[in-house]
Amino acid sequence: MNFSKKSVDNLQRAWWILLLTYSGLFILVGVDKFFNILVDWQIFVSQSAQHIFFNTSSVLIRLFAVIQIIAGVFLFISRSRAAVYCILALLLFIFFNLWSMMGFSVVMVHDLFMIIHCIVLLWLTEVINSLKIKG
Amino acid sequence: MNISNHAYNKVIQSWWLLKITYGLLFVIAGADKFMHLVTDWDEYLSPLIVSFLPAQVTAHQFMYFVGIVEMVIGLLVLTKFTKLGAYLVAAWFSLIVLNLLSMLTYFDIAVRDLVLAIGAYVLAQLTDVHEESTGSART
Repeated sequence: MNFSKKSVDNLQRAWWILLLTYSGLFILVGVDKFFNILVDWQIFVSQSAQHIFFNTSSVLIRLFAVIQIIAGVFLFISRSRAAVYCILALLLFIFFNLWSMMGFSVVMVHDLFMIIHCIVLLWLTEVINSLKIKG
Repeated sequence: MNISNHAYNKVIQSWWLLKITYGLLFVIAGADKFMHLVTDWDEYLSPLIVSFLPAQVTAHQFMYFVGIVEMVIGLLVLTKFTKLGAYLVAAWFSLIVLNLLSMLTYFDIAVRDLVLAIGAYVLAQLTDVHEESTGSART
């Protein structure tokens, strides 16, 4: 299949936009878990997650925040499929955490779309890598 | 530039995935403005916008209008007007972000909506690629 330069530019733009958005998003929400400016993140910790982590929701949130920041930086630096898988795993964890609470349907829909974006980012990373290999 | 069939399929899969999900999201979210099953949508309408509405129109009635607009945009995305629909989705989400920011309460939802607007822009970019590739395949 032959792609014009315009199509390749569009593909690269789409990939860069998703990559920068998700790197920035994960760093932003990770940092905000220490300040609670966007929202009080503790409301999103389910009973079962609290139970697993010894009823210390603030410690759990900070631990999760550090993981999110690392994942965001890892995605930005490595631009690899492995980094996208990390982001995807965190989003799936958030989705099932919210699902177990059954109270944040709007946030769950948003999270579902972020999972879909990450699947697209995963596929586009594969495409971009194949373009690089071909030179 | 030559790309493999595998890579081409990934591009087309990405396009279909975004097209179907954004299209369905807007049709369903639009329809739900009449039923309020997912959430009480009225609570996400800024008092600033309500203050600009004519006296005869309540916030609840305005959400019916919002629902109709969303369903029309969703149908555009699902049909052959995907690129136009995708840009409208991006613009619509941007308006929702401004609406939420003016309320000074739902900052986290505003950030999530901004991400959805960006995703819609990505769909518009991929639609260009899809249209060109299907056009070149026909000729």
